[in-house]
Amino acid sequence: MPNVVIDRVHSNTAPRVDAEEMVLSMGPHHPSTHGVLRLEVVTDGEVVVSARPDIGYLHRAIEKIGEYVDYRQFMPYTDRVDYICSMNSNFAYAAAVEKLGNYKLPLRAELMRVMVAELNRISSHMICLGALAMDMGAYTPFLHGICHREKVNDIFEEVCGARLTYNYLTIGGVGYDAPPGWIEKCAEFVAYLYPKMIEFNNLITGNSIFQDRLCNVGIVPPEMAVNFGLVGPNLRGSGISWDIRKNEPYSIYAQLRFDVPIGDGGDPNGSNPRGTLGDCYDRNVVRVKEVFESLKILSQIVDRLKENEKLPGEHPDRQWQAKLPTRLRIKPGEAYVRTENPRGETGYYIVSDGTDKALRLKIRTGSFSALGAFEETTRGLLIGDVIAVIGSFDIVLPEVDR
Amino acid sequence: MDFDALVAKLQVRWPAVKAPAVQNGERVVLIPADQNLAILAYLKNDPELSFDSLMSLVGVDSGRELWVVYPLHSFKHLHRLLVKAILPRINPGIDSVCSLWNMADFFEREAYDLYGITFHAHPDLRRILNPQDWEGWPGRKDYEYPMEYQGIPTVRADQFFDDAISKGVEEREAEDKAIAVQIEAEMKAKLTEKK
Repeated sequence: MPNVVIDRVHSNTAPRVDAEEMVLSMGPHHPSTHGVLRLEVVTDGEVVVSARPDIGYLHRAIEKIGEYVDYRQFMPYTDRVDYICSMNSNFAYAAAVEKLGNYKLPLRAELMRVMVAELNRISSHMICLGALAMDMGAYTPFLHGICHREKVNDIFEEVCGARLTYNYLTIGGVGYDAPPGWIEKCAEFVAYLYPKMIEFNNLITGNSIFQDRLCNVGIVPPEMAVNFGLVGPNLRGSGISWDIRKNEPYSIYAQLRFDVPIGDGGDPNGSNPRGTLGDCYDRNVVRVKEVFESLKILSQIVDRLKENEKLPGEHPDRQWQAKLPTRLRIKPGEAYVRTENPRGETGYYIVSDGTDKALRLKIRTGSFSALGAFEETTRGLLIGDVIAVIGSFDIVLPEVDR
Repeated sequence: MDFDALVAKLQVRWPAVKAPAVQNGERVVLIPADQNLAILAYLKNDPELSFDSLMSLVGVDSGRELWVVYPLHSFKHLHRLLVKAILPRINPGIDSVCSLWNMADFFEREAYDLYGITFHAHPDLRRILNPQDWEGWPGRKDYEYPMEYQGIPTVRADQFFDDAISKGVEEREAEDKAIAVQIEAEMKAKLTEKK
C-alpha cells in the first residue's frame, strides 16, 4: 500500500484565512477531551493548522509494574488500563498469558468470558455514542447511554461485586460462577436493549442536525487508516472489514454467528449517503451497528449457557476455572497476542524468562495509535470539528498513557 | 507464506538474518540492527510478503542488551511475523521506520522515552509519556527511581515524614516549644520597634 502524502487536502477543508497564527492550548482539563489530553492547536482564525496531542498526564508505568508482580497479581492492573471496558482489558491479558502458557479452558469459563466481554462492549459503546452526541450539543442521548450502562453495571455487580474495575477474569477461567437467575437477567437485558437502541437511533443517529455535524468531517481514507495503525471501529469506519473476533478467532468466537459492520460513506443505499468513506459519522454508525451484533452474540451465549446448566456439577465443561498451579511459571518465550476490545485491537507482547514474572510486558492499545493519526486527521478542520474527531475516535486516556 | 519459507527468502538477500529455534511461544526473525530499514522496506514492499501493517513497536530491556521488536501483519496475505533487532546498552541507535509506517511515530517516541533508544531520522524524537526534562530511561532494568523531581519529593508522604515519627513525642514537643518561644520573642521585638 502506498505511503500517505502528508499535504493531502480534505474535501471539507476550510479555506485558510491567512491571518496571524495563534497557539491554543486545549486541555488537559477540558470536558470534551475525554480525560487529561492536551492539544497544542495552532490556529489560523478558526482553521486548525496543526493539532498535536500532548499525552502522559496519566502515566502510571503499568508496563513496568508488570515486571515486578507475578502473572496473577497483574490482573487488577489491567482493569485500570481501560476502565470503561475492564472486562475486555482482563480478557486481553488473560488470553495472552494463556496462549504463552498453553493453558486450556473449560467451556463454561469461555462462555462466561464472552458473555461479560460483549456486555461490556455494549456499555463501552453506550459511553462513546452518548459522549459524542453530548460533545455535539445534544445532552439527552448521553443520559440514555448512561441509563443503559447502569443495567449492565447491575448485572456485573451481581456476578463479581464491582461496578467499574471488575477483576473478574482470572488466568484459566473466571473468578466466580454465575449466581442463580443471572443468565435470565442477561436475557432480559437483551430483550430490553433492542427496542431502546431503535429509539436511540431515531433520537440521534438518524437526526439530520447530528449528521450535519459529523458527515464529511475528519475523513480517514482506508490506506491512511492502515498506515497509521488505526484499529477496531476506527479502522472499520474506513471501510476495511477487519475484526480479530472474526479474522483471527480466539476463545469461542469461531463458533458464533455475527457480522462485521463496516463504514459505507457516500454509498446512496448505505447508512451514510451524505458523507464520505471514513468520516466521523461512519465511525459512529459502525459502533451503533456493533451494539446490535453484540446483542446477537449475547442471545446465542444465553442459549448455550442454559444448555451448559443442564450438565451435572462435576462435569468438566461445567467448571468455570481450569486447574492450574498456584504459582504460574511460564517457559522462556515470547508472543504477541491480540484481542478485539471496544476501542479496537489490544495486543499484549509478553516476554517470559521462565520465572513467575514477565521479563517485559507491552500493551498496545487502540487509543494510542488513534492519537498518532490525530494531527493528520484534523489538519484544515475548524476548531469545533476537532472535538468531533476526538469523540469519534473514542479515546480513553488511561489506555493511552498506561 | 509459512515461517521457514519466509526466512529462507530473506536469507538469500541478507545471510545475517537468523531464526533461532524456540522452546515456547512464537518464532522470531533476528535481523542485524544496521540494516533494519532495508529489510523492513523489503518485507513491506515485496508483493509476495506485503506486510502492510505494523501491529506494534516494542522496546525491550532483556537485562543484557536492548531489543526493538516489530510485530508485522499483512492484510493482503493474512500472515504475521515478529522481527527483532538487538542493540547494545551503550548508545543504542537504529534507523526509524516512520517513512514506511506512519504509525511508528508515537511508538518510537515511547521506546526512546522509556529505553533511550535513538531512532535516526525520526521526524520528532522527544519524550512522550514522561516530562521533557525527565532524567534517565525509566523502562530499563537498572533504572533507579529519583528521590525528587524539580525540587518536589517523589517518595510517599509516610516515607518522607519517617524521621519525624521516629523522633518520639517528647523530643518533638521540646522542638515545638523552642519554636513557639522564638516566635514570641520575634513578635515582642516587632511591637517594641513600633512603639
